[in-house]
Amino acid sequence: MIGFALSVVLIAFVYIVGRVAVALLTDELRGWIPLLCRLLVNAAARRLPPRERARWLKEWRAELAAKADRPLSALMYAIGVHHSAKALAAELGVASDEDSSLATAASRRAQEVNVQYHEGYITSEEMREALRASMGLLARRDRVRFFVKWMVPAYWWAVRHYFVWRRYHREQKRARRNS
Amino acid sequence: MIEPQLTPQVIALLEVMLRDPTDPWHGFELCKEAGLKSGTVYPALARLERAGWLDSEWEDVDPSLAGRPRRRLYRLSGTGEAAARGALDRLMQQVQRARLAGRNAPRLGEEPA
Repeated sequence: MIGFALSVVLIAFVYIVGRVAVALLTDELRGWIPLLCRLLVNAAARRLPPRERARWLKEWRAELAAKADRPLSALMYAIGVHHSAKALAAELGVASDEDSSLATAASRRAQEVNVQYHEGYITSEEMREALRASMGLLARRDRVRFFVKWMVPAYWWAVRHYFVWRRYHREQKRARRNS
Repeated sequence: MIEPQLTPQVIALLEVMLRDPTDPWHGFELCKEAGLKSGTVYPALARLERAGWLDSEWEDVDPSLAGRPRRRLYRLSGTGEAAARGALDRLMQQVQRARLAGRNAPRLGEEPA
């Protein structure tokens, strides 16, 4: 009899704990889904040509807002949008055309800046400033490539030149002291 | 006007929109009515819009009153409606011709007439 009562209590306890856990988990998911949807449509918009991004992002966000009471269908919608971004970019007049022409222009400018620096027309600080300005024109995915190709060497030269300058000044100081 | 490529998704969208050509549709509604996923609807809409078959505009509501941002609405343009009807008619004729040809074709093992 006691065993039966204990098992009833245990089952009731597990049931209550389970219900509370499921409710908490559901609330948690409900809180995260809108954020996830926003991230997905933002990522989708970043794949589009820059001139089209604002319009499509506004459209998708409006659709998501209209489905705020149905988080799962909003999530499915956002996944679909994210999935189609590449095809949409292709439909919208080849996204990469604009991006790649900007990337080419930025790369050409970076080469010019590089030559100007090495010929002594501009300082390393001016070079980095000009490179940063060129990088600002690029799409996100091109920015990483640009950063690795141009900005990393620019910072490396700045650091190296600092050490060269410091060694030169130390030698000068030592020479002055010896004389 | 360039005729867009008539994929099954584009045809499904046109069929839905031709039910009432003056009616404006928003993206999600089109997904539901045409039985398509959002992933296929937007590229098709962009294609039709670029071809001039669709006009799109922002919904005429006050976001603060509606409690949500304005949606983008799509409507068949005047020329788009005629072009879409023509294209779908041509497609139906082709399908019927293919069906007839299939019906009159000799069965496996039969001698051609």
